[in-house]
Amino acid sequence: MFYLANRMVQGLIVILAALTLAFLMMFVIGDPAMMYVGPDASSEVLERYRRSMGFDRPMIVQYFEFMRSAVQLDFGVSYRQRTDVVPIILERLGRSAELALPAMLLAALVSIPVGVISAVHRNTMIDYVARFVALIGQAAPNFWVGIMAILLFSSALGILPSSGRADPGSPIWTQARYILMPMVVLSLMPMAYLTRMMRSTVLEVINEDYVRTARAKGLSETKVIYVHALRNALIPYVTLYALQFGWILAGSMVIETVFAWPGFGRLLMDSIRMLDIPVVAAGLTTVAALYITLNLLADMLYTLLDPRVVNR
Amino acid sequence: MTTTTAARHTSNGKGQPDSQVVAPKKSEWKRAMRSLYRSKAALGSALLLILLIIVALTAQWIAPHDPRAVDISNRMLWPVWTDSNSNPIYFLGTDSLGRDILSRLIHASQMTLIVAVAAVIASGLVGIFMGLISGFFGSWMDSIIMRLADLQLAFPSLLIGLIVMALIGSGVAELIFVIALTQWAYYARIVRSEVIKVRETEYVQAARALGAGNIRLIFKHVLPNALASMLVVASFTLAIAIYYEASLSFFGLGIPPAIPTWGNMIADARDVMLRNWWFALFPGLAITFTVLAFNLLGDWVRDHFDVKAE
Repeated sequence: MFYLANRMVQGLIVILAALTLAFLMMFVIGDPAMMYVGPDASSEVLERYRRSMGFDRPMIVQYFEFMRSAVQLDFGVSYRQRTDVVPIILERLGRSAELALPAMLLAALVSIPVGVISAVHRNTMIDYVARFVALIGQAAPNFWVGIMAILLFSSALGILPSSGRADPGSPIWTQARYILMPMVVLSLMPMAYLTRMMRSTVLEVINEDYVRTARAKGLSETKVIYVHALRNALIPYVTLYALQFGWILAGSMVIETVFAWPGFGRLLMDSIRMLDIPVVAAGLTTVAALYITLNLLADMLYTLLDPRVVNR
Repeated sequence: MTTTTAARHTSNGKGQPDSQVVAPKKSEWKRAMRSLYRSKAALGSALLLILLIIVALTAQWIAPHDPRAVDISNRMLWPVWTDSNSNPIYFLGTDSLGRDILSRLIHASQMTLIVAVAAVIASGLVGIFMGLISGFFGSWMDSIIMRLADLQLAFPSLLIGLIVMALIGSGVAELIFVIALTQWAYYARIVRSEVIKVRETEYVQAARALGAGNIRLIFKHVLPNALASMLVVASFTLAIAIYYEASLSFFGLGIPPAIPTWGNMIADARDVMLRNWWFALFPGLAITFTVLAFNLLGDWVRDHFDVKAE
């Protein structure tokens, strides 16, 4: 319990630090009032705006003001879209989930069986092919894989739309066609990583005493592998799986930009490039919060699944 | 170097007492080479990387064309084996400005390796420095540095890279700085734990009692012991640096577009990629296999030196 509380306090510190960084960012790039009014505004308009937004107050006052509203989930108004930041972020997060959740599901559906088969048939042709593909999957830059997929499936074969998201009102089949390609490309990196992890944990587990016992009892090989070995190999896997959700956040920024998918990752990427700092600030905080939650979740899952780890 | 010839005769023998100081080092090196030779994946990776280094060093002589030379009459030529109309002097075809893709690939390898190596050195030096301070001074210094490391590892490093590049502007030095910023913490953790481990050992306390200073301790005990772990991290940092250079350049926040890099070549390709698959294919393959080679080499170093992954 103490451990968990400790971790939560650490998480809060990280979020506060993220907020501080975000606040500093607003001033690094220049006058925030200018960003709202535009460079052509007269100095009189600029001055009036600065006073109305409170940008003329001392930095330290503004800092605490910023922190106070951020804690209340108020990150101000986007420089670009002129509307509140938080609703924008929430809407975009939902769209990102349309890609990220099926991508993670696909990664699990592929990596578990392939990892197990690869380990059980170690040093056979199947194992070599699986390992090689996984290694390539980890090394190939995801934006490039996305581009090559667009070239192949959209330009050359013309069977899938190259980018964008279908109208929410369109039939489910049309929506799925738009989701398919970015979703698969997004899943490749975690899939490759998880397959390698699954293989190596199964290899470790296979030599444990309880697996030998299960074999000695005369259980069938399928039962030995899928009941006794797999269940234990899944313990570290689940933890790593939770952590891969964090990776998906970074992957989404890249993939959503390549496929023009209007999600959170693309919002963050566009806002960074346009220096739309209120959105970047809120986005950074969102990422930090998600990351910390996922890490905590991974830790808790680990203790839950493996009773041997009680106190660290 | 002068001792090695003497050691060669003795290290294979039954270990004459006077050679024992030198012998382990020599045989360690030999053992590593033999293991590298046995591991086909690692050997292949090493050869590929050596080839890449040679290509980068000799780029201006082996590249068939000037990578920046625009040839409007020969725009968007297909690679020679795919189209009978293409010009055989442009082996991998040309891009939308008629620049030779093969020559651009060859020249781009220079910037890729410069960025990768510089990033490893920068992040290594910063990490070692921070780790040493953290380990030796302890108390509040240690807490601050380690919390900084935690903080930095609490965000996806690509996100940090993108934000910082957007704030400070794109450029070669900026990119190296950003990669170092996102990677130093790994080295710092290794060095710190090594300092703490070494500090408590009896031989170090004895050395201290004999008047050995911190500098001697660092170079004689801490760094040599941390070397294997740092090598593992370094080979993965090389892979990550190449990956980040490509990604950040692709999104216009890395190396300025005028300099040919693999990431920039893919970015150029994006605007006109509807038919011209070869613009993006070759630089992408170059990135993939270079990253793969560094990853495989990293795996091998980890297994060979039996370094426990964090």
